[in-house]
Amino acid sequence: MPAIDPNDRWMAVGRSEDLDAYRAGSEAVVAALAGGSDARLLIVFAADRYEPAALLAGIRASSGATPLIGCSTAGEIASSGPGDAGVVVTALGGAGFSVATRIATGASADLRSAGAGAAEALSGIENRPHRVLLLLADGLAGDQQEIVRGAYGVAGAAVPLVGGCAGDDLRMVATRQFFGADVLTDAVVGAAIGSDAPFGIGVRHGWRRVGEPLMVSSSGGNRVELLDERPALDAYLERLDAPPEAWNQAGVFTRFAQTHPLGLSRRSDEEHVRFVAEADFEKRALVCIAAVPQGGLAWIMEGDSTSVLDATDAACTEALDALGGRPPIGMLAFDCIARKGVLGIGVTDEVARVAAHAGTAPVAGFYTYGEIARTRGVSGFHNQTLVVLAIS
Amino acid sequence: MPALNGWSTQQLTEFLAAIGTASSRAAVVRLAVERVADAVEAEVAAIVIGSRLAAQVGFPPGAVPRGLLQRIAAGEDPIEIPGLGRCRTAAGRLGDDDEMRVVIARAGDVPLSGEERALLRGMARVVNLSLGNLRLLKRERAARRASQRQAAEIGERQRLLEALSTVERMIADRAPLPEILDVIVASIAKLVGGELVGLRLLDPDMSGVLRMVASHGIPLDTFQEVARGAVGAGAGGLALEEDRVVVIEDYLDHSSALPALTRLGVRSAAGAPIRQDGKPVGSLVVASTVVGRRYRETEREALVAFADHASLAVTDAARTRQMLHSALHDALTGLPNRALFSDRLDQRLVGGRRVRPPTAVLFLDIDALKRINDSLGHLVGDEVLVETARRLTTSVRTEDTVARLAGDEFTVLLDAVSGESEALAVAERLLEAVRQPIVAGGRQLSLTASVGVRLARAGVDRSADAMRGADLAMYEAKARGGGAVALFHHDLDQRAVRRLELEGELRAAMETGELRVLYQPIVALPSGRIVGVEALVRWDRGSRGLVSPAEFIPLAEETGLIVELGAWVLGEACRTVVSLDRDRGAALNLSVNLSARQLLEPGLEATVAAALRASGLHAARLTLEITESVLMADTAATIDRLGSLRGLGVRVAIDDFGTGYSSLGYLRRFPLDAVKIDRSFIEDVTEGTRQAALVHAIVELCRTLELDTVAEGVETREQAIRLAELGCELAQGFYFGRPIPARDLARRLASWAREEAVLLSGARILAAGRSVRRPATAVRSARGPLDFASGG
Repeated sequence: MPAIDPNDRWMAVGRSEDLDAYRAGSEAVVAALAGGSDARLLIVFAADRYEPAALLAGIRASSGATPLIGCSTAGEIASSGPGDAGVVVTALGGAGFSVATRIATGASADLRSAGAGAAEALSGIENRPHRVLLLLADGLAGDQQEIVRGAYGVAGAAVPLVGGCAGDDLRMVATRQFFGADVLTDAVVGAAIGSDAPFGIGVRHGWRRVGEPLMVSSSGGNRVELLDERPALDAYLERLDAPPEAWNQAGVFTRFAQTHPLGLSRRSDEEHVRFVAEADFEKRALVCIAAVPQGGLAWIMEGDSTSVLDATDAACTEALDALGGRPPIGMLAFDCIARKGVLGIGVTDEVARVAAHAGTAPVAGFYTYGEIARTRGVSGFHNQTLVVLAIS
Repeated sequence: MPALNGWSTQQLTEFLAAIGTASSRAAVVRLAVERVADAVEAEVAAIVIGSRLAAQVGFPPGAVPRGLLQRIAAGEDPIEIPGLGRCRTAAGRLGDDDEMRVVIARAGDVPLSGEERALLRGMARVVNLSLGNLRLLKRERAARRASQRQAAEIGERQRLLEALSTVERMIADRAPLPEILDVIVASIAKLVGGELVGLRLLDPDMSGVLRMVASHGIPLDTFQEVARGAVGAGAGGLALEEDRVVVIEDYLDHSSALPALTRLGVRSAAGAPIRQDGKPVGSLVVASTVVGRRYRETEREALVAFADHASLAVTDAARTRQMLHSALHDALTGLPNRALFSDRLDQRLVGGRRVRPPTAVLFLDIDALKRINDSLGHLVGDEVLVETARRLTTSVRTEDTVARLAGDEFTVLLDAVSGESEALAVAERLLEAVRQPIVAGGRQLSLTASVGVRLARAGVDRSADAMRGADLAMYEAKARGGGAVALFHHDLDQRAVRRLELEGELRAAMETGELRVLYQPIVALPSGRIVGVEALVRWDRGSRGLVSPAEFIPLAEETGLIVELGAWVLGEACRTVVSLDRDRGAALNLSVNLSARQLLEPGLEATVAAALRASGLHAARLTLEITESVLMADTAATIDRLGSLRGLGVRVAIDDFGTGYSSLGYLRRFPLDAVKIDRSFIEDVTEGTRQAALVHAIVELCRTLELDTVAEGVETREQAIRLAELGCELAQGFYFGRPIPARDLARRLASWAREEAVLLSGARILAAGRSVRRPATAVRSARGPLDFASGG
């Protein structure tokens, strides 16, 4: 292994909550680019309220043609804490990095191809000992697992996948993806990053099972029609002894469901968590953020601030451990919006814990509609989970 | 094998559900490797079949370490995988096929548990089952597709055959050609699905031009542009020109494209030639405006099949037309024949509300065409007919019809005439046209014709009556000596009716014995001794009385019965004379008349020879008499015929000498043995010196030419004596005896023998002492044997 010069790589984060999109972008990127010369990649997480074109114009006025990916969020994360109305710009720079970006549009028509298309970014980077593929997808485009499978098909087992799904402040209408100067929806953007030094990825959700498992009697894609041969919505609400309003009020249900995901059985005890996004009160069905296979077993999960914060620590530790003792030059966090719901005001504590793990290194991230982290096996899409990427 | 617990059962169930959604082999193996890897959290999964890789997950497409996967399939565990490090592996067989394996590799040191291995094997079996099902399904689908395709092809074929059989039926039924072609065009539009179909045939009136005779789907304004087209233009024009199927699939850019069709957006076209008797005469074309339209093999075959059927229909129609034309036209002159003429006359005479001017039927018979045929040959006769036909046609209006009925008979239908005078004027014009000299066979010939005219009115006269009337009038004109026009009048009709009746009766009479042969004596002068008889035929209808020979002999001549009748008379007479000889003990000479018709009969010599042979009569005792008018025909054939008769040994006499041109030249030119002097000379022979001098001159001339002379119509003793004085050797007439039946003749012969000296006693015989060259060897009759009117 060649000698690694930490001075060859740098990461810096700029943040702005200026109401004006252009100025906010401009302010944040200037701060980020101050981290060093030879910026190779800009990663933009922006509040849904910004006019995205103006925001990108503000950024690119300073960054020029530096490759850029990004997305709208359900809240931003930086070392200074969580936010939900600003923009966080991360810059990666230095000769130690090799970066290439790709975009795949029209994702919902063919999720697998979109994932594969974004993963083609890997073919654009130099041969470095460590690689990672950063993916930002439209969280409303459909079964995100298919995007990950598509990307895995191209990347193979040797390249970890990491990232998250864009949000729109829980409006659940449309999310945006950024690519260079372009603003898109229904797209997947990818950045392949090659580095002389290792990356570390940590994944934890912090939920626990409630009671006995339920049989997924009938499901199709993201919809669950029947659990234990009963209408899924009824079975779900009864098992959790949900408040009466959750039975018929969409807003109350969504907030309730944020803290009560479904867990899908895995070989190990680490379930795949499925965020229940909404209820179909008429057909008494559940609509999830990712697919729930028919014929499988599902657990209803619950969590509290303690379990969620414990998971934060575990995820950070896992990511940093993978750096082989090297100090991080920065950390990226993809944190499920549902966890924010569980933590409530305690979310500040979570970000502070991540920042503490990072030490002097900057932290950036956003609250997502789904998290991507494939380090083991072939599956890499998560719900209600914190994914941390540590960069050395 | 470890049992599956709850977890792995659920995994297998999920796996089954997931694999069940895959509809192709590729989808099954791809889903399988992903789900297998997912189930055991392996990074790598693959399905290998021997050295082949069916699917894999875990490696980028282009960087799959196949050898490594083979090693895993072979059971290597653990194994080092670049990028993943040390991995634990497992492999499961797919069903019974040892070659097919599912392999997995999982990063890390934790080996696959028994349950995981069991799950892997279960999944492998599921994959195998799924693939098996898919194979079956694929095979079933392929079979179904094939059977559907086959059913579709059979259906298509069936519909094609049905349509073709409809066309065939129409051809067999002789349906009108346009109807057949319409059906062909409609059928091909339906079967080949051509949006535009056109069937064009060469225009018979315009060389090199194709005319649209049936079409489908062609818009009116386009149709007007493509209704006529040149050979070589468009798919159809090319198909005709090159006599082959032409398919154009880039119509817009094709050099032969028709502008009207490119404007319409035609993209492709196919044309097949239509042939008449094997020769291309048109084309059948389908065209489409659909982009990328291609004509399948079956469609091309259908096009050719329909074009072939159109060929059949066109050829058959032409042949029918031709047959119809030949059936209704005279082959030599091209004029309408009797059938067509009758049909037109029928049409013209159909009654209607409107009063129409009368129509006229003209019968025209060329006089003496037979002589031309006989003397100059039939080719010349044909030339004359063709030229006559041309002249007649150009002498009438186009709405009139000139037809040739048979031989030298022409008919003309004057569609509308103002009256008899106009019809007669046209008839005269036709006569004049015929009269103009005709050059045929290198000679200039002058002809005349006889024309009969009959007027007929629509709704009043029947066509058969009109024809018969004109025919009768024509005979009337001929009877007047030819070269004349005669108008029909009802007397002709009555005469004709009478003649018809007579004809029937005459035929019957020959069978029932009503016809009898009478014999008139011919005597030697001055002795008065009976030396021969002239046989004369008589028709005795018993209680209904006698029929005049003047009536039935011409009828027999016209109808040809004369041949049969003549032969009968000859045989009968020969037999009678021989039998009289036996009774009398002396040879009697026999004279029998030959009609002009008989003289032309090819079997005449045979008939004569047979009569002689059957009766035993010596040929030299038989004299055949011909009238002067026969000699007037003056043909080589007549000379030949007389020569050959004389070759049999029989004698030939000229009858009624002096009634015609009395050309003395005949006597020299023709091979004759005797001359019978007409009764008109005899009547006055005793009165003045002039007639006596004429008779004397004839007798002297005959003597010089070594011909016997016979005086006819001798009715008085004075005439007989005078004739003897003038040197006439033989005579016949009432003075010597009327014609009598054979049974009476024997008696009469005996009494004549007694009386002859008495009859001529006291006669001054001028020629007394003069030797007779061939005394009393010739037997003479007064007129022909069939001529009772002037008989002795």
